Amino acid sequence: MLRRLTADVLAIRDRELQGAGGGSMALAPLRIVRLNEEFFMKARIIVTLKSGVLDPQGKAIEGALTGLGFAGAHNVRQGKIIEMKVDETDETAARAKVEDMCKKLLANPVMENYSIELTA
Amino acid sequence: MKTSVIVFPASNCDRDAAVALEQATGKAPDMIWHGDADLPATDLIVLPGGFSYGDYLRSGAMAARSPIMRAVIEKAKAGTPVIGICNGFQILTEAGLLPGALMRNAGLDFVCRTVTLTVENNQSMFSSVFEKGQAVNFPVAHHDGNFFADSETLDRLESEGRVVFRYVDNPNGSARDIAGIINDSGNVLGLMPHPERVISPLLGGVDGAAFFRGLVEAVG
Repeated sequence: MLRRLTADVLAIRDRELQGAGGGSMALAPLRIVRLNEEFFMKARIIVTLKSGVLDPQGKAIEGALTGLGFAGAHNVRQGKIIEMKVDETDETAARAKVEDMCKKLLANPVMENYSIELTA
Repeated sequence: MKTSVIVFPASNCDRDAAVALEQATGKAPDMIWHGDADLPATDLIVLPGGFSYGDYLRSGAMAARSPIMRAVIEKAKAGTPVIGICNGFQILTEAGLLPGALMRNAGLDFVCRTVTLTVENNQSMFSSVFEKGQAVNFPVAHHDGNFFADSETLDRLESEGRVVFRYVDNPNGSARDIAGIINDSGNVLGLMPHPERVISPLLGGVDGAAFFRGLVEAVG
């Protein structure tokens, strides 16, 4: 119910902003928008090197772990995590948007894979 | 002949490139800010070395998506010669104008020294001044110069003569010792070492002066 309500309010807000050309209408819905941001999807994008791609940083970490006496840490790979709030309340829409971001910027398909986790 | 150097935030070889171009053409290049949308009429575009956008996310990733790159990609596809040196090479791969990627050096060290390259293909506009097999000395200065591509892409680059320069003593782990490649049309070169840094005996070498002089002659 809340989610549905949020989507409706967002739709109204977007329409109003558009109608006003981004002008004076923006003030009125502000309080509601802040409330609604709580219902935006949170995205966590995990970018990893493809298997087979040399990861000298992972190797260095593995060497340091071994040096510290941690036996049995193998195949250490370093990746990165990117977190964001996506201005969407619908998971399918949010995923499509983040997927597009990954393809266009966040990951380089030549050497990296990515996975996307979405939470409300 | 009109030339352009693209200036990104944290480019740091843009002025070296400008000096090299002016020496070769007799005319100072247009220095174009990355945020501009349009390029002036130009016969040659240089993407200089540096650390554009602090190398955030991946080296060259942000710069490849900056406004000016739409115009650079358009010109490159229309046949205008483009050279990406060091960070410029990284930007060209990130922009999809060249295959592969430049990854962290295999030894993890920032490598800063003069290296010897072999001219593998002297049929390109970027290397016609040299003999095939000639050794040239250019400095390298990079952390992410480790050229990577899948073996199919590497085989294609080799068989099509698109590996133009190869390291004699590989400083960074690059696949097949690759230092510089061209695109399939032959008008875009990515080169990790810096020819613009060796354009006078006062700077420790002149192979870079020959490189730019030869390119200007080839482009006409």
